[in-house]
Amino acid sequence: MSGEVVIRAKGLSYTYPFQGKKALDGVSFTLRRGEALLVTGESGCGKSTLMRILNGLVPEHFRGSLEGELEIAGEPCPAPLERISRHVGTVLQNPEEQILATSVEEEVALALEWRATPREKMARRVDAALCALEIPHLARRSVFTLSSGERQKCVIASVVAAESEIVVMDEPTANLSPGATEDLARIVASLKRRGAAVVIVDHRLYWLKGVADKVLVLKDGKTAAYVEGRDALSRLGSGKTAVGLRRIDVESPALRDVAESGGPSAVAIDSVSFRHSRRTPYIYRDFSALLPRGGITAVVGPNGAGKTTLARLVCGLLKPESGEIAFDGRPLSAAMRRRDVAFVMQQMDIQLYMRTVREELDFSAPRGLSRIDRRTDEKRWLDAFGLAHLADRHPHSLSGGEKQRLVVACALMKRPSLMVLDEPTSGLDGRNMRVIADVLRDYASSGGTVLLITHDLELLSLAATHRLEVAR
Amino acid sequence: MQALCATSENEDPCGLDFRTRLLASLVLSTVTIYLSDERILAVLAAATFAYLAASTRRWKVVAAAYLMMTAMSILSIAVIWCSYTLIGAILEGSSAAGRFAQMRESVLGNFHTPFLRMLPSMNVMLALVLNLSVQKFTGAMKSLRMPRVVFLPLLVFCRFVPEFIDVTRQLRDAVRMRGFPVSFGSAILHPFQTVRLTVVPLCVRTLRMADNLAMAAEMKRVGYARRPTHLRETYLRGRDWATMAVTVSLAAAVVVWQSNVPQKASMMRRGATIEKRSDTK
Repeated sequence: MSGEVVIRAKGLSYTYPFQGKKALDGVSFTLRRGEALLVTGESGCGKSTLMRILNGLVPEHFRGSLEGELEIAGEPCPAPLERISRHVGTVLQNPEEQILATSVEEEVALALEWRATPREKMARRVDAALCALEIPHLARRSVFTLSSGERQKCVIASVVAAESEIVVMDEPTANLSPGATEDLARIVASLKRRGAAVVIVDHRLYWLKGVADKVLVLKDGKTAAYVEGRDALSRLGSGKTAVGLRRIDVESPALRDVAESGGPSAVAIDSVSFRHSRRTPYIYRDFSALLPRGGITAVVGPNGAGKTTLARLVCGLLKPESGEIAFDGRPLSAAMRRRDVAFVMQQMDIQLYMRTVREELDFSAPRGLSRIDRRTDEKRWLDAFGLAHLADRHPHSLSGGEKQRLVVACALMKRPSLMVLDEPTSGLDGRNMRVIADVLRDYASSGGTVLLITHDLELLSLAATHRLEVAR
Repeated sequence: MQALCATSENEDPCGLDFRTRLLASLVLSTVTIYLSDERILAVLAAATFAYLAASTRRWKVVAAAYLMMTAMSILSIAVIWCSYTLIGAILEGSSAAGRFAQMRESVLGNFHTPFLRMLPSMNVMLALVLNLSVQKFTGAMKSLRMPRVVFLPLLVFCRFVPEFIDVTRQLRDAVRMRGFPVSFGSAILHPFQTVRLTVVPLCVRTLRMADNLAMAAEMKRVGYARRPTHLRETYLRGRDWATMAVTVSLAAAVVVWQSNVPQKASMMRRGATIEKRSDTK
């Protein structure tokens, strides 16, 4: 059966309802069993639209007009979602919005239960998928207690267990640690060996070297490049089409440990202990670290190690059970830390409140700042993040990449002494990632201190100066 | 709602199935509508309290619920008593004034009856809610073979509630980081800003989340199979059947007891109390 064409797209175009411009325009490709297709391109190029077409959400959920020829596992499309979902398993970018059960094991089994899989077979597949993702210890855990990366693994395990003919993944590495990303590459390879066709929509390219058999680069909804062959990614190289994309060769940067940093420190975490409740184990026990002034300290560690918890402790959103956190040698209360720190969270929607981008920036400025200074800062950050032409737009009408840049700009408007960023570049293309890296470097060189939580190796190599390792 | 966040780590001390607890809640709550005799209500309240005590160790929540119900009962009695007093004062001199005075007295005389009527229902509902989790609820829905149009929205709703609570917490943190205090006082002082800072992002986030959860459910074919299988089948055990039998027997017993209590005697006893109070006055 290997080699049989399972997706055939010819002149595929799609227009969302009430939109004049085509989101996808004349895209053609074929995908056989045992092959992996990488779809990439700058933010807003139509990658997610293509993914929605392949998993049947377009046009059933999004309506709009679909043109061209498309055949999925022998089904001429558009076909009802009920039929498409028999053949296609999907991993969405945001695991919170995809997990339906409350325990990991139940989530992995859910799709199998609704395919009426016999129990023994289902249990075998669930165990195998959990082992493949190296999360058998999480089987009985509640999904509400998992980190973002662990949730992402849970979603991927559910698709692996379902053994679909076609697997579609949207930014599957956005929340994964470098180690987990390598594991995912191995899982994709094993899916291919099993005869599944895999479509991966991702900005990060390095992990797919030797895995992707075809690369489709989109630009403004059109095909900018379509390369076939085992070395497809390498052949894409540094040509014109690669402008704005992520790098293909990425190495884990060698960063100095914060303990070895000899310079002055801006933040001192002294013997901090923390646990969520008396019944839960300690996440940190007598934890100490110094964050160097003018440095960008990357917090690194496996998924679920407590990186976001550390960020929330430093920001003053969580109170340590014991120990203290001092800024410039002065121990500060949680409320005072909240005043001095800017925190960029992973969820962007909950950090945008105002009617326009300009108002959003204005609202973020510290109280007491003069009007002239506010205007100067606003202009500076609008220009730095390429948002000037969007100043009068509603923040919630921006694309994901634009929202992400705006949230970082708002954090800088606060003029903080410490900036804490939690995965600020997940889902960002190469161009936008480099913009954020440049701004962070400028901020640090002007005496600011940055605590950066990221699994993005490119961002780490471009911006980070020190590393702070946390273990599970 | 918070109870829906309960996880598998929150184990039920009795190990009863969700369906057993649901049946107990429905049967015993329904029965209280028919009961009017205080002694029978008191017996039922004691029996259901024993059931609650065996079902939970979260005594703070139980105490809070009892306190809240007592406070609400006292408040409602006070409001009714004040209303009758006020109307009586307005109508003073007319024949209706006396009737209102009598009604005011009867409110105090029968204070414990509605309180007793609520107690059994509250006990069984607490026993249900404090042992409820989305997992148990959805598992029960699956085993009850509900149609897709009913099951799918319920599943999304159940999954949505804990996520909504989580988003609310994240939103509170985000707003606090912007330097805006999240408290009752700030909501009173800055109502428009509070609405802007909480309602807009919450609406955007929750609408998107609900939409995506529904799509994810369809992509996983939830609700499409006629007879879905279960990774962990839930069986009704001996203790479940025993609890169901005790529930039904108790309900039947109190109904029979109530029907054997002469209505007249009960009414006369209540009327005598009211008259006695009027005479003393």
